[in-house]
Amino acid sequence: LALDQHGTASKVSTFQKTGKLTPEEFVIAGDFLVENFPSWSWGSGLPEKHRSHLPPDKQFLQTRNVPCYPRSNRAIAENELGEDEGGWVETGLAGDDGDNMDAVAEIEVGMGAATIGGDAAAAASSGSGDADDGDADGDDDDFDDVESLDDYDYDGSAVVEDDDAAALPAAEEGAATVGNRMYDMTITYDVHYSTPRVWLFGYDANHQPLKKDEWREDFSEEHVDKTVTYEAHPHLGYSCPSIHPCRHAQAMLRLVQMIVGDTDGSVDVKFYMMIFLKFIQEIIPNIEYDYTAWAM
Amino acid sequence: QTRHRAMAQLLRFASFASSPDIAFWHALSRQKLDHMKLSEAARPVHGFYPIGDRPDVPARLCLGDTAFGDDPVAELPALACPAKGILMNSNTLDAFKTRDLQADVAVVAQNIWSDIQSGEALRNTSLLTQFLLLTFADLKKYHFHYWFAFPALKCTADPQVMSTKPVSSVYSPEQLDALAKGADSLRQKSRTTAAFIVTGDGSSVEPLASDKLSCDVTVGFFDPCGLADNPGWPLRNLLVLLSQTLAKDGAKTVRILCYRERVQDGTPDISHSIVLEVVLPKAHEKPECPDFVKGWEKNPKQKLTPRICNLSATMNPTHLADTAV
Repeated sequence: LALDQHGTASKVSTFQKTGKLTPEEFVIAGDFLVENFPSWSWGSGLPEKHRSHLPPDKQFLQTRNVPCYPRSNRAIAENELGEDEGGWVETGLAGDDGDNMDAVAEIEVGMGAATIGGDAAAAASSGSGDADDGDADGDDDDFDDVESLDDYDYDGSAVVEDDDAAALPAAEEGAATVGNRMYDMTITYDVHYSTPRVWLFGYDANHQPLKKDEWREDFSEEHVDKTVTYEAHPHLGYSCPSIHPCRHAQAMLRLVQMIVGDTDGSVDVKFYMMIFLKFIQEIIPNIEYDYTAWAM
Repeated sequence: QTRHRAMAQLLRFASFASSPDIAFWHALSRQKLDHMKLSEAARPVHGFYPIGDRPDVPARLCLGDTAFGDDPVAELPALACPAKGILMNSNTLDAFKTRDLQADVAVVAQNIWSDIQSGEALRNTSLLTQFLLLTFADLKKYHFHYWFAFPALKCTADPQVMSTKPVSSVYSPEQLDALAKGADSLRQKSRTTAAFIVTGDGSSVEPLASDKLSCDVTVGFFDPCGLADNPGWPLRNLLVLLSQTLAKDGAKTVRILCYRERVQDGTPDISHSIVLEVVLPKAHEKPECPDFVKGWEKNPKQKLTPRICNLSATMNPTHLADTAV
């Protein structure tokens, strides 16, 4: 697969001058990604969140369980996680919602009005409100009330235990499969910036949602405090880290110009998502999603 | 590095690691609020398993936001097979903890056996992987208690493996190419294909059919496992089906292709697939559901207890409030 560069004027899309995509072009580029990279598929999301400018069955792109390779400090952290008393890996951000949201608000303030659009600021502040509402009953403030089911006797272990020598013990599945985080990754179309927008939801090696700010380790340091925010997903109704699209068009424009170089050629818009994902890889270097069919 | 084993060994299977994603828990919350309400009736749920795309990732049984939809294969990733699940949701933690686990899992095992007996599992091979999911959704706290079981019927004896070889030592690069193309076109025709027949020199891939099945063909299945020495869980019930079809008169040897596929640099790569020579035990004679492995998933500490997922921080409370009854 190679980038086809050709000069027919009618094929020149606006994205080559602006780095932005129309919804139609988002679908064209997404279709190409899905056709060539089978780990990606289209998603439709919640019906009431459908955007009319996109086909109902092509609202966003998704890939699940993308491995994220350990960073130096992670192995230790996960070993400790496995030693939780009570046997339950306690997950989620219970009791820390408020703090976390405050942190996001600070990030937003730090970024300043010049780089963040009004909609993002609004989303951040409404996110903060959600967290407050969620805590209203006070339940979430008490982390200890996550019930443990360890002590329950299921009428003798014979009910659940198998005498099954043919099941490979987990320990024999090999160290290679142990310790990797995974991410669900989605790409939505951001109307305000007319670019794709990336959302990531992380799990630990036991497929439990990452705790608190653990996801921050998986974003490049230079970006994590600048362009990554924690917001409500536009199609799926939960909140997760997202790479803010305020600089995407600019970056894409630069990449497209780099590819075209001094020639009169153009880049077919169908390659947009692959170029975009290449650019995003710099922000999430350890998350190994699929896009590499060609070298830039 | 062809591995030849002089002696038959117990064939051991890698179990599934359940991977319900955040969007699934969200979908379950909505189902509970909008449709299930106080009903504890069992209901179907659609899962899927990716085909051994990465050797360093365990075999996963995934559930996403389409788990409760009308279409079992909606938004199914290209390299994945559907798996039919039964969800039994309890309204209270107490009810969840006091379920009749033996009876619950027997429902699924019985379904698998019925589908094998009726021939339905031969036509729709994805029915060989059916699972049970017990849940209690605490929607006040967004805590989800859950327990997966992946039942596997037992053959009259444990299947033995005579040899395990990398696919490249069995097929030429050209044959591998043809295999990948054949598997792809089979998937295009039917997304519920989980097993198939590879005929002759490996150039032709066809749907499983009783008149085509014999000990002379290779039986392939889409393998969620990436390990070099072991197949994934779906082979267990497939071997029962094969035993019932091919080994009525006594034990037989069959060749199994554990088909795994990943995409590398834009082209399909199936080189991490493996080929097994398996001794199929004699078929069950009685029509009743045979003994089965219950396959309850262990928790991360390898204990046989349910798991819990705490999503209090990531669920969107205002959205749920909108849909609350």
